[in-house]
Amino acid sequence: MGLSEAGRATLLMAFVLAAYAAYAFVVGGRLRHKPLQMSGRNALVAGGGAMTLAALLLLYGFLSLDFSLRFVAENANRNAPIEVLITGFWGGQAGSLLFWAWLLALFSLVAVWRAFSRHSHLVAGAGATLAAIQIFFLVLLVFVSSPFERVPVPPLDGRGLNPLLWDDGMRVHPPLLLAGYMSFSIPFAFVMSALISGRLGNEWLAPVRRWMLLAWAIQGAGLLAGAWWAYHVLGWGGYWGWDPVENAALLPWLTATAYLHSAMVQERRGFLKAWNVALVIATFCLAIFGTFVVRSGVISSVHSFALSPIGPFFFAFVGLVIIISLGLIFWRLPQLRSPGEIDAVSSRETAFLVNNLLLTAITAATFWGTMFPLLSEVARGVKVAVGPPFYQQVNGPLLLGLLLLMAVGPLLAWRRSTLARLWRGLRWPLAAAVATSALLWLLGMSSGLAILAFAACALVAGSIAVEFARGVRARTRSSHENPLLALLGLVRRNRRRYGGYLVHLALTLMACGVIASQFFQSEESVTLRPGEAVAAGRYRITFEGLAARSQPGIDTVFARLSATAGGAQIATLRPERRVHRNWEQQPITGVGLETAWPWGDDLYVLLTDWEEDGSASFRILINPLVSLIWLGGAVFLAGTAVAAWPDPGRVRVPRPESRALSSESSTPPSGSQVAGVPLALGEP
Amino acid sequence: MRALFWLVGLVACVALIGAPLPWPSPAWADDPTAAAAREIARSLQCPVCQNTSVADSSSQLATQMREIIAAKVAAGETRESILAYFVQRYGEGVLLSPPQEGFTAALWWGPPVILAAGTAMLLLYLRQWLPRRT
Repeated sequence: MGLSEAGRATLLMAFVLAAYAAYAFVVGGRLRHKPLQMSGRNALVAGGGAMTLAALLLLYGFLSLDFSLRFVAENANRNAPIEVLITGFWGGQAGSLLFWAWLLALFSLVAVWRAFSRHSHLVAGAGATLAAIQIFFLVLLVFVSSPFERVPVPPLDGRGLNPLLWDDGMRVHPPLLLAGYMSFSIPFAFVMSALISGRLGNEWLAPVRRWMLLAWAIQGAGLLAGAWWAYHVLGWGGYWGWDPVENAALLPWLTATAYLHSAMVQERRGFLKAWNVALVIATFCLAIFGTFVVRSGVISSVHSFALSPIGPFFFAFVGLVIIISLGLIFWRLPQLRSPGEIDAVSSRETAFLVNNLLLTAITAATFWGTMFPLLSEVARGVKVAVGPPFYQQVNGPLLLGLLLLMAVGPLLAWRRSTLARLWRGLRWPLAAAVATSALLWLLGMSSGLAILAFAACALVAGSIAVEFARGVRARTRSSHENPLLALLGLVRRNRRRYGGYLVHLALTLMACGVIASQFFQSEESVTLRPGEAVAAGRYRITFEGLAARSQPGIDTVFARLSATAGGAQIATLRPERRVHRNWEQQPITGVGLETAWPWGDDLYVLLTDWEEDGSASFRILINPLVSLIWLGGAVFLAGTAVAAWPDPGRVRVPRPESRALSSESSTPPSGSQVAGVPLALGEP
Repeated sequence: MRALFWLVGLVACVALIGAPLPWPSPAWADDPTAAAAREIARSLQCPVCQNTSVADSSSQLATQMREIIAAKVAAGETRESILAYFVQRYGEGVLLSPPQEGFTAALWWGPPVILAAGTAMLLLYLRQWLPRRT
């Protein structure tokens, strides 16, 4: 039996197992028949095994260069090193779908297994939903876009992976994004289960939050890895281009961010239930939409949509999900209504509501801009481009609003907060913001908008510092700890809260990097002879010479340059051009990139052309403070880990809503216990 | 009041200490002409690339377009007339931000309408949730 038949048989088996699991969960759930549900769980486990086998078979196809598989022939060639062969797995549509479905199989069995011991009433619905999603992807993999399809006559060598995808970043970025898209299925499944079972108290919040946080972190890491890859490999000097594929990946992350905030309102005050349910469902739909867009490029043209064989399936699936979820929401509307009451406009609740408004508006605006070219083509046959200027103009003010809210929101108390309190919290951050503006103005910054944006960053950083300082002071006062220990203890007792602040800090760092590089990028295009130098800002860049290098299948030409600042040598740069065999029309740019401290300017040099006499043309970009974006990325991951780290052996006790209401008073947010109430209740 | 005092004091200190120091010219002491040319290049799609602006592309055509823009800015042409020049040569699709009139006005009206609708909904709910005052 060949690899193709083995692969197809395994996928077919996984399909049958998923179908059985769906049946077992649906019937087992209706009859409240535990053994049948356990049988469904076991089918999910077996399905996970089958999918793992299928993934291994495709991997084997790549490693053994089995060009009788169409997918391998298209995405591998004999010259490719082993790590590039592995990248080929997600280098095309069918392999990406298999990767998605394989991870979903693994994630769903873990989720269902855990739910059996913790949230047994949610098992049947969640299991059935996850099995249904698996069925959809397996239908695609078995019948429509199979990675195990044969070529009639196997070629001697494969076409190979697009050389743009040879980079290390491609080993990280696509799997993370595919995993991110996939993992939004789990919170969706728990929400569907809560809707189906009608148990719409606060019990579903804990598993949904946990899995949503995980999915949000994976997707965030995937977005960051994508930005890093674009910056280091694509060679256009930027990290985010608002192109349709990037936008599609950002959308579910935005709605998930909104959910992570609004869920706290439900947890504390018991309202916004219907809204939260809708956010989780929207996130899942956007994740499916993104999975589809990322692999088919449909958004660039109506025609590619019509040609894509999987297009109609995805459309039908998203449509079905929307119809079923809306139906369920309307059916359960009486239980989703909550007798909420907001005590005052200046309260944490309102801050969260405004946060959700802004995030939803950014999501909607981005979606609208992404879909508009398609709409224009359908409506009047004219292709228009919607690019960064649109998004900057539309999303820029909304993002600035979010920054300001990030400074004010955490300082507001639940229920009611007086303006005097707010002022006490905000005066130091405000001082920091004013001082920052003054300093930047003195340093010669002429753009008022940039000064305003940096001042907003200072405001947020100051407000986070105030929150940490208040917590530490409360602890040192009550227990006479030294401040450092107090800080550690504070974070440990209120990981959700202070992890969240770390994430806010990370976003502020990224905002600084984005603002600096957006407003103050500068550029020179020059042609230099060896030994000649050019001044770029305060740097002086000398071209030393060209050289060539040859590897099997790849020809490289690179230039050597050295950069000095104030006479001191600070960096050597080596931009290059690579030409891969089979891809001669698409030379690959290797960026010469060094960060020059102390100003944190990235010297970003591209080799654009060269002549017989050894002279070469360069684009030299100075990108200030881009390193802050990567630093912010690291802080983002650290903060998320702090907020999400599971406590072994702790089972969160669901809080009845009446208690949730009565236990809140107008307690100040500074006390170290306040945000920890839900945690403390669950601690042994 | 005390906080305000501190605030003014802090700013004054920063200004007094900071102003006379020999600051090295930072990258962001920007040249307004170059910045204007860059902004224009950023709002034009490179006609031979995918999803890349004239400012970001390393293609020959984009390099030439950047030179044309720089020359026109130096000659004192307005942003609008420079953009119109490129639209005339390459068609409407060359603009990365479509005009705010005609069919593409819908693109620009979308987000404000969404935001207004969202705000209206939020206010309605807030009114419903806030305790009635008599």
